[in-house]
Amino acid sequence: MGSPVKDVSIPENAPKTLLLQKHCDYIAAYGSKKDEYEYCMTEYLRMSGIYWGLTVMDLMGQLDKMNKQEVLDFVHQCQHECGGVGASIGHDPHLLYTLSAVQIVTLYDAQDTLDVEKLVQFVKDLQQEDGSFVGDKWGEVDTRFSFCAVACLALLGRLNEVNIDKAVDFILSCMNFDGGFGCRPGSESHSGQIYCCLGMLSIVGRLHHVNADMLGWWLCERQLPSGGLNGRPEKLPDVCYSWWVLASLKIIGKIHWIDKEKLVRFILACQDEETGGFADRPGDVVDPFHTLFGITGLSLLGEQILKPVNPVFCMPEETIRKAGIKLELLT
Amino acid sequence: MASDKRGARLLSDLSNVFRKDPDIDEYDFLPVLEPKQNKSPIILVDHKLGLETWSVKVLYQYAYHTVLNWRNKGHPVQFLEPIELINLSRAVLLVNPECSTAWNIRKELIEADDITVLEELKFGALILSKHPKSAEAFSHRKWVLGKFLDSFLSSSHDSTTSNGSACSYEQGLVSMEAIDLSVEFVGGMPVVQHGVENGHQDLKLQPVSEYQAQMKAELRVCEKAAEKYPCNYYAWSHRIWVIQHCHNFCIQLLLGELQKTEGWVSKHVSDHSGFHYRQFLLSTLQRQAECLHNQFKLLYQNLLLKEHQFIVDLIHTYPGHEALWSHRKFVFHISYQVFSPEIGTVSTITMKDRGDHPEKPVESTKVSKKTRLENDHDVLKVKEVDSVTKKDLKSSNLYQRHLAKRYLEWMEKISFEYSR
Ligand SMILES: [Zn+2]
Repeated sequence: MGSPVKDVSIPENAPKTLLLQKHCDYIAAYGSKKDEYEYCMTEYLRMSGIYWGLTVMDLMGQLDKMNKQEVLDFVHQCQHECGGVGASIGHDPHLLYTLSAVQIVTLYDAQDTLDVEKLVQFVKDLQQEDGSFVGDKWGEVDTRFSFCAVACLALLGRLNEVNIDKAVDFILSCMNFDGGFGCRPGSESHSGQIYCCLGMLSIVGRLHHVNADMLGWWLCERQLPSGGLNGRPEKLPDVCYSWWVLASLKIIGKIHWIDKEKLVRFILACQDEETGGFADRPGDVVDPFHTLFGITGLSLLGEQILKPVNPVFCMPEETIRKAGIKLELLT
Repeated sequence: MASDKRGARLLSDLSNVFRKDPDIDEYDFLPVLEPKQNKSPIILVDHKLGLETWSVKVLYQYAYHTVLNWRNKGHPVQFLEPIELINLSRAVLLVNPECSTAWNIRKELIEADDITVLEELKFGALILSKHPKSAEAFSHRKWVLGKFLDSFLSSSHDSTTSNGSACSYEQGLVSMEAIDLSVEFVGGMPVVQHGVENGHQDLKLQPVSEYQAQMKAELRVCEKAAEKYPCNYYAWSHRIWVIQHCHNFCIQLLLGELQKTEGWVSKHVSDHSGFHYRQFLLSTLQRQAECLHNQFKLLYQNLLLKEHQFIVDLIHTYPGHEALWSHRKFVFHISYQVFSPEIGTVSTITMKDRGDHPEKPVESTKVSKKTRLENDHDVLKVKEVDSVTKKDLKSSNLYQRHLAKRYLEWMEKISFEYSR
């Protein structure tokens, strides 16, 4: 009887070195060769797509290959009267894309592209009585939105605008027995949600509420024999979850609990030698999303050719430092 | 443009199909890459809709651009009738349910009474039949259910506000009869009073049973989505949300769900989300333990013992499943708390003394009969360590042995934490 562990095997001939220039070319050309159908299928998250592309280019030291003015004009056009930002022109404002927009203008040191006062008001108005944040006026609650709200405000230096105590209380109400967090009170622990909750607590300096030993245990169990990390028990390893788990471990000071070498090998194996870019797993089709998280993962694991990444904001460390943001990380 | 004309034509064909058959309950794309002469790419058989893939792209691009252009007040400025918006947004969402702006347009149509809440729930279920883990489809559904709940509550004049009370059961909340329970429970059905004076037009004449039927249907929608996509985070968190918001943590329902999902998780032993749902049910019941005892003559501890036996049996039947061991951790964790000496509980009942009817919740022993051992939870731990060491550490399955070892290490850790 074979091992029932759900995992992938890494092919012998999978890439073992970082194909940096290939990835730069892949991201720089992305968008120009997509067909019309694909373009409008993904437009609902365009703003985040731009943030992924710019951040990964910056970490690879090639942000200048991107068209700054075009990007900033686009961001400006996507801000609504209410202050919130939509994913693209004509799309409704949402906290997810508002954060992406703030991250983009911060990368470019061009926060005046946005009407900051209105944006802050938009974020403020999304906080609920119980401290949670809804994503937009329609009222969906999710711990991801708590992270988005707090991250936006921190990048703009306006954290004092919302009720932090209540926001923290809500996050803590989503903590499970395993030390992890879900999207709402009672929901299952999930690596992506854990990352958001830890990021939120890190920004507001309340990580002491976290049971770092218990949570670290759970996070380490995400590592599979292939070296890759999954997001929940019995799921396949994935480059994006590898980032969320790794960044979470970094925030709670337990990154040394996993096998770094094996993880590096897994991430490198997810590159496509021909097209450039990273896929979720070895051999799959690449996309900008997994390309960003492949690169940020390697950066956090100490790859010297890349700029160091900030584990909370998923942006270059130097950008966060320049913005004067202080974060709490456990040691 | 020719493709625009073709798109408009496809949209009108699709809209006609939905007009003729409002009960379409499933759809899919058929792998036909080229249009055929004189044959419609839209096929409807027995409430199942098929769209040829070549037409999907043309239809989507036309509908998407038209509706987004309208949203953005682009040029040429267009006026669209509600019915056109309904048709356009439907076409967009059938292909791309993550397009939240299209869902928002429909929310506005619902607020303007151009779409009814019940129609929208049906449409959402249709989308989930093809896209069972669409985050936006579930998010929209919560909003629609919120509307449904609001209008129901405003049409029923007794106080049914959710005040977090453990025993909302007694307040006559709406959902009690909605439950299938093959286990007989003591305690009659609550009397639900409702008035119709100031009801929402959509719902004012709807009896309580309609609410209950709808909420029951909602749980079925979750189950279907969970069936279609393993470890479906959205489906299971939606189910939790439904219990919390539409059923107000009703005990009888919690018990019913606990019983109902036993079969499901046994058939899906890799699906951690299903087990987490049981963890949610058990944690919620823990907070209502007193009520559980008073109204249903059930001892919470016995539910835990039953769950322990259930998970241990599964682990022995299906060795090497992380999801199962993870659930075992939960059961141990919560038992360790519940059987703690401070809380002081039934030490007389041990793992072995569960009675001869493991499928039936065990009758409560009289409170006065309780005798307390010094360290109930230490006894629990010793037994658990013993059972894992004797059985699972010796399993022929390598991964099972690994999981068992990790479990023992973890147990050491948490019992240490509690003793601090
Ligand atoms: Zn991924």
